[in-house]
Amino acid sequence: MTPPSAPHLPPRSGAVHYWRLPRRAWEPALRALASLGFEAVETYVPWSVHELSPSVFDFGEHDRRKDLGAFLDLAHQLGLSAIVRPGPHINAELTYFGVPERVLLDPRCQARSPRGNPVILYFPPRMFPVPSYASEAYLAEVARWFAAVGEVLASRVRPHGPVEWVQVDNEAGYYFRNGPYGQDYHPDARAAFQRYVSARHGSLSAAAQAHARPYAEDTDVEPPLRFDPADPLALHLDWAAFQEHLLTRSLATMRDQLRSVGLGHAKTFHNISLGEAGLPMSLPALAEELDVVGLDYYHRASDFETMRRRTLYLAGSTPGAYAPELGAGGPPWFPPLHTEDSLFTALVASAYGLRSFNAYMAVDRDRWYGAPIDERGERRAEAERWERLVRGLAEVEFEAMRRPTRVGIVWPRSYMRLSRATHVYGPLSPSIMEVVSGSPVHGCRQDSLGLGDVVQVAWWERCEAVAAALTRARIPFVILDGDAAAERWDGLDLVFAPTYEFFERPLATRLAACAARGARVVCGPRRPRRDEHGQAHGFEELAGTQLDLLRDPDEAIARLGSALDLARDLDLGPGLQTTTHEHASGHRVVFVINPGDDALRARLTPELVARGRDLLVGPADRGPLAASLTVEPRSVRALLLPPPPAARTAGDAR
Amino acid sequence: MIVREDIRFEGFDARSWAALLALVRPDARGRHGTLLVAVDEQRNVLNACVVGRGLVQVASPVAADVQLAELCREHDVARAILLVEGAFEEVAERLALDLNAALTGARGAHAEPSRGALGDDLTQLAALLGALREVHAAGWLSIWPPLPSIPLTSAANVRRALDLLLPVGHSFTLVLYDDDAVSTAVALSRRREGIDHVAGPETLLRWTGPLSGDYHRDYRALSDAVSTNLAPLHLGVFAQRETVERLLRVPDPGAWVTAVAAREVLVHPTPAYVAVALGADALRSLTRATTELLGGVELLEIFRPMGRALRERLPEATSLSATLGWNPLATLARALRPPRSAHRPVEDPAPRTEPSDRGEG
Repeated sequence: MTPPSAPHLPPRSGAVHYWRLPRRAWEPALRALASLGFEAVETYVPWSVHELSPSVFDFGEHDRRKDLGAFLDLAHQLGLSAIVRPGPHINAELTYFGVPERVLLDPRCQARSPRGNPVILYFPPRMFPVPSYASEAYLAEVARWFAAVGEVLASRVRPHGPVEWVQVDNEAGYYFRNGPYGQDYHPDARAAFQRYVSARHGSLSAAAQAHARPYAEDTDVEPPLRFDPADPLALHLDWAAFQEHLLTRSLATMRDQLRSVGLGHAKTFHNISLGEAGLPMSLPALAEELDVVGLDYYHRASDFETMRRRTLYLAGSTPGAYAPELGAGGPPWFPPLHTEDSLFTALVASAYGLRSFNAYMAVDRDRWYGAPIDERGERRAEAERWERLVRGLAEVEFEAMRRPTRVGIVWPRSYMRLSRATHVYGPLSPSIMEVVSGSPVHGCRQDSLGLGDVVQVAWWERCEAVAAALTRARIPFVILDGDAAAERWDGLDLVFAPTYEFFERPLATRLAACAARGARVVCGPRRPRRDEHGQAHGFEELAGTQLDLLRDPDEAIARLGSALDLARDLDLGPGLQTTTHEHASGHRVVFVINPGDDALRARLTPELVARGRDLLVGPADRGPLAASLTVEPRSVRALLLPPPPAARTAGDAR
Repeated sequence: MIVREDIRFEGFDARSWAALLALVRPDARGRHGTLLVAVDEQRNVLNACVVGRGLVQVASPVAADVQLAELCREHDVARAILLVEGAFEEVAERLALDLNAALTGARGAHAEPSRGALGDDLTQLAALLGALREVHAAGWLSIWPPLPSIPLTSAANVRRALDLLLPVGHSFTLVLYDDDAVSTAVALSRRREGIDHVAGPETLLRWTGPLSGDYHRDYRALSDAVSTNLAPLHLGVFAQRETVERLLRVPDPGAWVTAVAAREVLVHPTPAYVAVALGADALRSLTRATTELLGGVELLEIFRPMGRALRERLPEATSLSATLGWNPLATLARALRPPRSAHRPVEDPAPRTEPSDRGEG
């Protein structure tokens, strides 16, 4: 029997696009999905497909494939819950990302460049002007769409139907046009920036001082059009912060619109695309507005370091790490993803703390290849491996497990913003650079801007150096967004935070609170002297922290690890990485990861030999483990350790 | 990448799609990577990085006549892009201006913008390339190796090229086997706007039903299935996968014709331009071999009358370049061929026939 999912995350699910399948394929597709062990079906609801003309929609009256209600009812009958994603932006490899062409062509709805031109998504051969997240006209159009789709969905929200979760928009990141000065200069965005600056600084006069500009009224505030090192840094940090704020505000508006059409009882979530460290999107800020914020995963197996880092950031910065899209196959214009890539990604992400995911796509469709189920609802050869993974994770209630971690590395938001502001390749944005080059700082200016250090690059390299040293020491850690909610810092006994000439006062306060409760907080290499607004500040808050130049991270971490008696991951052999996850009922899962190109032998501990079993085979096939086992190149073994006999008795009693 | 609404892509699992892409995988030998260098207006370096590797040092200021090839060697990369800060933004703005002008024009007679106001695929591509070239011509953007000097031909001319390669209302298929099973396959059909359907092996096999496992026997059933379900077949290629992989990676100009003659590769049907290409391939190969064997005697001279006869029978063969201003087959061949430096130099002694613009027969 499938155990219930933890209540705070969407269940493991698979994507099925009803409108792309013939009606006769719906039932076999959903049955095949359930046969893989998935508890829920996920689907986009495409605005441009359902809208016939303004305010006229087809939900099956004309084209039976568009009968969203019938599809959800069928899922309900088959025992599946539903996750729906009505956009407005959905991508889904649709020509205009699911937004009707008439809306994109409406000048009032279009995002604007610094020169007032429409912002074009330049992915040929069908480039188009992208909508403005600030535009009131666009948000009004979205409200009309949500009202229409709400008529179908509202009556199908739990407990009356299968709909449990609703995604608000999709990969909100300015439609990949998120260079630091690419957008949005729409009149509504400019007005919002003016209000934001005053609020951020507490008053217009304080903003004027920070920006070194004579603001007499809000309308005097002009957004920067390009990075100029002669400007006060605060102006550009404000702009970078505003770009995050604008997306958060827009998605909160869309959430309210969904609530207003009868979806108030459905839980809400959002998915952040690859390249999140370079995106003008604050995961913690958005997490305050929605129930869950997750990351999308599309990785080749060679991207091990990236998928690990992303998961550690997600696990550190949110209460439950969730992947709204974990690639099972891909669109034909991505670098080809093999089934081995997708499964390796799922297992590596799980190993570092991903608790639930949506396999995108579970059922194949137009403009996609490689899903485990074909378009007729028949299982492909790779379906069995997906089933073993999904059923294995369900069996151990992986969503309710935890990986004990006492160490955190902090990414200060203001440094992330500085890196974005100093990015020099414009439309080839920091997030795109992060995806293709592995770092959001590779495109930054390399001068110090009068800060003494090249802060926009140095903070990242310092965090990477600490992470590498912790990895070598086998000390589990997570990465925290500097804006992460207060509870994310609880339980951390060792926190590393890069600090340079300027720093954020709220983050300094947070670090001080950690130090006050007894955590070891290591800052450096500089004691900051200015705040994020450019104002002189002594940062007395950091007096209780340790300033450490970390000239030798390995030595420092060895010293601190011993002083704090930090637990270490199992050492099963050179080249292998391990993680261990615990369940309240006593069982554990040990992941053994080989990220390299050669097969390796893992020397198992006596406990694993005595009691361990391979989780990724069916329960009936689980024999005892040998003293060593082979871990193939770029693969993961998941080993189940049942509760010790005493704990098992207690668990049975419960 | 974003494609038109009317394009359908279906029928691949991960293995068959990867196998198809592997056919055109770039040569793994030689240098890799791209060096990006951004400079300010005084040509001081703001950033230099090798994509995927990280930041690097480039001496500042960068001379106006900097040799990007030198930088490539110095940083062991295949490509270099040097730009003045803001160049990419300039491309984006110019592209937006161009497309917005089309939108504004389209709105002129109507209160609401009309569907298709953004132009067709080729118009959009031309707008992007035009913006890139303007910025390049202004000296804000330098690229090594240089962009191919293919002239920016009109959308109408490109359509004529497509008409020759895959006429409107027709289809193409490539079916490759691993031993006795279809390994990967693709079938394409074309409508006026361009390719409108891309079908993979699962779809093809659904159309055909069970096959014998021998492409020499199966090709007729496959051809019929594509013609029936997609569009009349214009060109079909059937072979073992490893054969085609080998042929795409060898520079021997006679390899294809040898493979076709030996029925290692079945071409069915064989449109005129393919027949001529194979004929030219054979002539080149024969010439090279005999030139080497006979101590420099140019045997091709003997065949020149035959070439002329062939040309007269198939006028589109020689009109291709003249019609387009560039030769798409030659471009394709260059793109697929490994760098010559990695192999024995190959002469190209094919007869230089004068272009004869006789139309397309």
